[in-house]
Amino acid sequence: MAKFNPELMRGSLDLMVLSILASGPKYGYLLQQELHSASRGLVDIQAGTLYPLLHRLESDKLIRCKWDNSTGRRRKWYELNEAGRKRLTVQAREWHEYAECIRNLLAPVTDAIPRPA
Amino acid sequence: MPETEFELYLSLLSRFLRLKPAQHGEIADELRDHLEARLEELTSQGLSRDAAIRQALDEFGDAAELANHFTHLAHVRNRRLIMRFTFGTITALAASLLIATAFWPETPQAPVPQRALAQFGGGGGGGAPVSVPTSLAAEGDDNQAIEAKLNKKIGTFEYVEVTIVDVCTSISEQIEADLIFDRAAVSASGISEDSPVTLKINHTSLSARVVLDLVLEPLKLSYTIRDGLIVVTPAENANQILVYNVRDLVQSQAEHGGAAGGMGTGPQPMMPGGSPAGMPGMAAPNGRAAGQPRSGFMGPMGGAAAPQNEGGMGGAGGMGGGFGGGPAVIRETDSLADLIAMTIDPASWDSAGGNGSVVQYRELLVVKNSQTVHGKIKVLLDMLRTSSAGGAPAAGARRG
Repeated sequence: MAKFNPELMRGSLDLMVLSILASGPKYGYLLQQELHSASRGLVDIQAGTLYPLLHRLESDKLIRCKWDNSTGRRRKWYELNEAGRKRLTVQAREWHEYAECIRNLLAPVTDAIPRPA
Repeated sequence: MPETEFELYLSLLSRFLRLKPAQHGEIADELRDHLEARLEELTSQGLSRDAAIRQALDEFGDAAELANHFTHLAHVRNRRLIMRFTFGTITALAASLLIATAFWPETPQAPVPQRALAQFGGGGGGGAPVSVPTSLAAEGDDNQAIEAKLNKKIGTFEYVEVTIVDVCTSISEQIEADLIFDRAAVSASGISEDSPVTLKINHTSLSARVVLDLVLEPLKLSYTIRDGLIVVTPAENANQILVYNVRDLVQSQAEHGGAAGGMGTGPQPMMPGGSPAGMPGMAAPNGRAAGQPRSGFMGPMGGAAAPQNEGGMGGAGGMGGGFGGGPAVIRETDSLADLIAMTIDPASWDSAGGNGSVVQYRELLVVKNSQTVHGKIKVLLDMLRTSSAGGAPAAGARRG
């Protein structure tokens, strides 16, 4: 399957990043890689987009960061805090309702499209 | 080992960032970690080192754009702290805009020198001349529009650890005036443009002028008005020459002087009991009969009421008068220039080692000092006028 249109993903990037962080602390590059593999290669978030997004989530107090100097180069780790976890739950529910709504709206069109075997 | 290309990219990014130096370092460290991890990954996949470096950098995109994202984020965060407008603020702003619009066609005024000449020529001594000070530079209208904007109330606000640059930007946006922060001069004076400001005003609606003074003064900054712009600069550079037409005050003093000299009819109108910026107690009576402070005269600090002095009442204006029952410092002067230098920021005048000056030339007062001091002078002159206006009928009656 081709990668998603960035416009389509725009409103869901926060949700994707929060959901990747739900499994434990990550640094930027690791997060990017995990998002890539969790989406089976369909979602690639560019570094130039990822870091401002992480900083915004941090300033919104949805994630917290910690510096690690033990590996020879400074590494910034991010993890979900309580507010981030709540936001993720709420947004995930909203997103499901939204997806369901779109699915129903598009049913007449999608039903006519033959599914790949 | 850090790659030269990465370091170049990061230093370029850093040059575009408008954040605190510590934040520059943190962003560079974080992105460097990513770039190096990416480089390792790509070379392990068989890409040549050069190609891997190029791809890693390409994935970050344009350094200026990325820096802009980071800077914008930080500013939005700061602004969120700043913009705590109350309903009252919005109402006050709307009302002031309405008033400004209603009187718009009447605002253009003649440039100063013309007004000053007209004053010299018009010998009638009738109504009080306009007291608005005007810059010697001839951008009169633009600057007066800025003066009017600076008088706008900006309501309650809360700055918490916001950089001085952002505070100034916020104020200028609220009054819809253009403000330039003279970064070169500020940093040359050893003042950091990232100096944090914390100021909360929750119950009083202050004018933009007062707020600017409050945030700039502690950092030894001030501002001038030039070509219709507010220019924030170190206080020592911010002196501006303004000419005040004080014909009304000088004339009323002359009239009173004659009367007092001849008949000893009592004190002249004098300063109300509170200088504009809460000066230390300093009574400044002009009246010949103002001998001792009366123990009962203990006006409120900074009180707005102008004490009126009818014949024989005497009394010392000013708030030092009756405090603690100790002897008051009473100075006497017939010179408006001296009065100003004695009461407003005394240390800022050349007589006290400062770099401000005040010269009285006939009916004009030529003052070189900071906008802060000019603001205080305007208040003081207005207070003197209010006081004079109250005393005038009595003086007229005596003459009649």
